[in-house]
Amino acid sequence: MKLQTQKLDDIRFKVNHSLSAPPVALQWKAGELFLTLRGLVIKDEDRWYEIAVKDLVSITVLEEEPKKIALCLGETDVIITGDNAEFLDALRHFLLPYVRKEETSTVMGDFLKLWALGLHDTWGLANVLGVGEEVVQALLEDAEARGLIRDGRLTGLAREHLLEKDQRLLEDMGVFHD
Amino acid sequence: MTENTFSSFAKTLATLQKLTRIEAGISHAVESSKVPPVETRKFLRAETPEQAANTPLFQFFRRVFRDIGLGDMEIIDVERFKHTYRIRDNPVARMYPEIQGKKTCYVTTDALAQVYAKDLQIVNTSEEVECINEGKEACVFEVNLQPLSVYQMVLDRTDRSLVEEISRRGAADTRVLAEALSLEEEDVEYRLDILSRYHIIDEGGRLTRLGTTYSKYVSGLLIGKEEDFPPPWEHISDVTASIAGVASFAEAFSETVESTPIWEVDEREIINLSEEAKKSKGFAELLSKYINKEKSEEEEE
Repeated sequence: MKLQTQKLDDIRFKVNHSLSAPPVALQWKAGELFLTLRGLVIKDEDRWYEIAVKDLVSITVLEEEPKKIALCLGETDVIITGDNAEFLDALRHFLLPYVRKEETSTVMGDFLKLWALGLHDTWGLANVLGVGEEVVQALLEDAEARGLIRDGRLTGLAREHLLEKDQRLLEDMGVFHD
Repeated sequence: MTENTFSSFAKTLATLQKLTRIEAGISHAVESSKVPPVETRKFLRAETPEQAANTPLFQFFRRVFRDIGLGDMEIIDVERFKHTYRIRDNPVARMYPEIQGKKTCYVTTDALAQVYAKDLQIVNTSEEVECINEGKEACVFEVNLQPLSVYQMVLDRTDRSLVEEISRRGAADTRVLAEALSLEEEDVEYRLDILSRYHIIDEGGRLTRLGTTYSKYVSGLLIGKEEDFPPPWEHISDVTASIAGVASFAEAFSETVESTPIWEVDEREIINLSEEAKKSKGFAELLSKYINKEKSEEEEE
């Protein structure tokens, strides 16, 4: 199968891989940025790296001068810089509406996570969550009323309030009262 | 095989071209549109959207936004620490006809944030709260102003003298303050109204806790001469000419891109970075191999 590509600009790029310890980072390299109908590819001599838009988690500006943008793919970031700052900004603004939204936590989700981790003290929870003690009290009453906490432990119903990664963590710890 | 995100090269490149032109316009407009504090203050003190819309500052940026290609901006709400804008028939939203149910106008959000931060010296966070592409009637943007930034800007030297005078006397009395500072009573009343709006004084004309903090700390940050220079609307033709100039440069760049031929690459030669990263160890090894290979090549040289 052939993938159609159209060159956009000459760039310099670097790949960071966060799961390896210490993080692996290619040094800055000259490359060429191409558009495909799936997203972007970077040509590095005879190697082609694909950044599919569906895999993008975020695109952020790392530095203004020279302009550096980071295309985050979860465990991997591709950092791009180039001479045409306006084009890099345009590329970022163009891709942002297509970017997969990261899950965002809620106060109830954070409260449930901390509760499951053993923090039950109202004052402590209020401080960690950055809310008043009366809010913590209300969260606990609400969680019990909705069956998210039973006998002091999280039930399976609490899962829908937790981020996926927190669900996995708490499942591994065996905190759910199923 | 991964599904396509974009429907065609031509449409995608056209959008990128328009956005590059807009970005170039924004960057030059922001650079040449620094507003003197006295004008920013007038704008911040507006109590209604109509008052804000009538300031030269708003009218200037409305024109600049239109010239850049961001559409016709209205200011629809002003609060002490939040300004709300609306753009009907937003040309930026129209660049994303394939997107539905999502906000799309990040370039406008960024433009507003930059104008407030760099031209008005107000730290802010901006966001699009409603978008035509979500099915709303217009695109609506909120600019949330950092309170400290507003307090540093919104009161002028005379207001600060009033605060000091009230602090000394314990309460605000219009006649006494007018005499003490050689001001018209009407002027003092207007200024007390502003101090009350910003919760510097309470209904009884006494300093609030915030007012006391302001008089002790914030006004201290303002010692020194305020910058004074001509507002950008006095040289609006230079600003618009600059926007037009960079737009044509951006266009030239985009035309070069458009004329580049389409290449075909064998899919087997392409490394999908996300999929490779999921095979964490292998990918790390792959990158390490490249690094080592490059290092040894450098050493050989």
